[in-house]
Amino acid sequence: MLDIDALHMAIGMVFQLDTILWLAVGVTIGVGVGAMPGLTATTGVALMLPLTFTMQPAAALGLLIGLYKGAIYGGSISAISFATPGTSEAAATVFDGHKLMQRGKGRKAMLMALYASVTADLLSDILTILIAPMLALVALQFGPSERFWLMVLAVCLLGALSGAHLAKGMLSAALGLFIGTIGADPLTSVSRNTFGIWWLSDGIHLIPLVIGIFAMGAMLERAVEIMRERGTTQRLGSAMKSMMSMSGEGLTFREYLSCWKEMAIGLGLGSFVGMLPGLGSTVGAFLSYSVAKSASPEKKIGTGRLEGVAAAEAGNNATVGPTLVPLLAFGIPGSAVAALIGAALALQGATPGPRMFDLYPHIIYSLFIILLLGNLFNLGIGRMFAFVYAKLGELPPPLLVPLVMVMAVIGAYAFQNNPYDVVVMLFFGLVGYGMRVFRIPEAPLIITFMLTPIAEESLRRGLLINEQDWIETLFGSPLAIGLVVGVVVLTWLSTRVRIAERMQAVTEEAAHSDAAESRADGAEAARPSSPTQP
Amino acid sequence: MESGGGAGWLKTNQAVGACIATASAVLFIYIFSQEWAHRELRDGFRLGFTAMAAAVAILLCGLAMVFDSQRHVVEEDVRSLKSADWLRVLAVLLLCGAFFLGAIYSAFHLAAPVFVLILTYVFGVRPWWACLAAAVIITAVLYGLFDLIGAELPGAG
Repeated sequence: MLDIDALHMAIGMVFQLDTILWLAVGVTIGVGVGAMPGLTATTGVALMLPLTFTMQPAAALGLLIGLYKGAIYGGSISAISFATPGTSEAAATVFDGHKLMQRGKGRKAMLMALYASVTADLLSDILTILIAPMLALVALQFGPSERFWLMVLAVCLLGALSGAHLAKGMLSAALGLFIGTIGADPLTSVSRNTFGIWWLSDGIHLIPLVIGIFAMGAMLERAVEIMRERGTTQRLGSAMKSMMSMSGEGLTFREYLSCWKEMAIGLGLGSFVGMLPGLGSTVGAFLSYSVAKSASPEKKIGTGRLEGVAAAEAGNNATVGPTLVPLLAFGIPGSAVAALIGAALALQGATPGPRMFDLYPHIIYSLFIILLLGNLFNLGIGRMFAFVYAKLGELPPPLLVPLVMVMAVIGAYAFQNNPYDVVVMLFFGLVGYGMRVFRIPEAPLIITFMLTPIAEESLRRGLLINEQDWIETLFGSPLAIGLVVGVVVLTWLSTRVRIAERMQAVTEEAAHSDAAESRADGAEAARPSSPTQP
Repeated sequence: MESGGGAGWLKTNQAVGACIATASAVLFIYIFSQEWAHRELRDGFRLGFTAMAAAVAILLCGLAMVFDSQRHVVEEDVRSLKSADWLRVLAVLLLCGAFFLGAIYSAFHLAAPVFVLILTYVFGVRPWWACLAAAVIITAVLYGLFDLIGAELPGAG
């Protein structure tokens, strides 16, 4: 039921100068983060998260959601301009976007990317607003054991779908579980698993952990690449060249409408993928691109078509809102960014979950309004400054890496002015680097880390209710048994069907076929004109 | 993702899995040997149950990497990884630590430019005054940003 008072309160919270300003700042930074190769939406949100706890809830949500939306779209700018996707989500945009750019239709491609992103994002947000409260009502019927099994199911799904190697996905989740046990016991606050280090008795905090794993880990990888190559001196000189000559024909309304089918495919697949824990926007983009390509072979997607840009961009941006559905409905983040937004809500005192709709309806409504409003900002800022951001994509990594590293150190410290948080962040930076090198996905670690105390608390509450009867606690209701069956079937399917490997194969197949087409196009272009040719 | 032919066994998923399995077994034994792990709480739960369960989960995942179908695979980044890369990573982390200590004991606006200057120079940015300009600009921008947000910088008090 719609709570009118809470809605009024939410409107008041969102339409304040402070919130609007931070939303604009979030989108502005986000598009820049997306446009810069090497920085991802997760890195950006992780770096900004410690700065939000001094803000009002709506302003904090505005900054983070604006940044997330902006970054997912921003990746397309450098993908189209330089064939270097700013984020992995935009890799599918390169195929058609950069070919359009080479033909002098870069402006058209960028506008198509923007409009497709905003359209799919807006519609998927509406879907989120409709679905999340309904699922939360279902979640409210769950008892402690059902909640426990639901989290186990989510972790299994996350491990199975993240990355191409099931064991590595599950390993990441297991590491998150272990790190989550360091510090105080969630029910009795007794210290445990601290390795005799006194400052660990308070546990590992999410903020230094995510900054270390995502931001510092990524920057260390970049730093190693730079130090290996040392070929960056020339890049600095050439960095500010090119790109501003991005004038050219714009996008007509008819051209925008002609891509409705691809945008619809992107919206449908992206929304579905977004709601499933573990898949994320990269899979959304590639899946949508592949389906659109095979659904309309006559359109020759992959040869520099607006439809290809529309499918890829609609596919990745349509995951943005739905990725929050499991977080809001069940308290289970479906992606790393959703986990960080959940952490921001928790920092504001509003722990995400089904009861949030009853306890903090004004924050939920604020979030929904910000989700919708963020699209308008994305549209405005993307429309006005896309060509300026294209230059940002050329920012040399030797400048970017120190900038992010300083932000990571200060961000970890600023969280609670604790020097040990910096030590933790640096340690997890090393862990994050190792995970990147060994291709162990990071998202399951963060999400399982966040779920560990909640899952443990649910299990122990169940045990208390059932007087230490483990069988009754774990298998005491039909729903709990159904969830256990779900866990078993999913684990079995993951080993037999290898869902993630197949997803990876779809991605690689799309990339290879388009690379082959590009080579063929190049050969065609390079061939000297023959008198026999028309 | 390539199969491990010329890269040597040590770089395969199997070797990585074996290391993880061994480390987690040691971790499990360590936790099991601790007195706190067996302490029974008011609700009848053992304090070390979840930590030991996590160590077992890591062990199982490590073993899965040893025996699964991708055991001979060498990841592309691992193939090109050299021990010098780990030294580089450690050096950068130490530099970050030194920057933080510098900021604590002096001030952010003194330590940050030095850190950025060193790092950009090591990364090959030339001429040197470009490093200096980058150091000053990055510090000024971040100082402004943190000041605007109201975040407390190390050494500020």
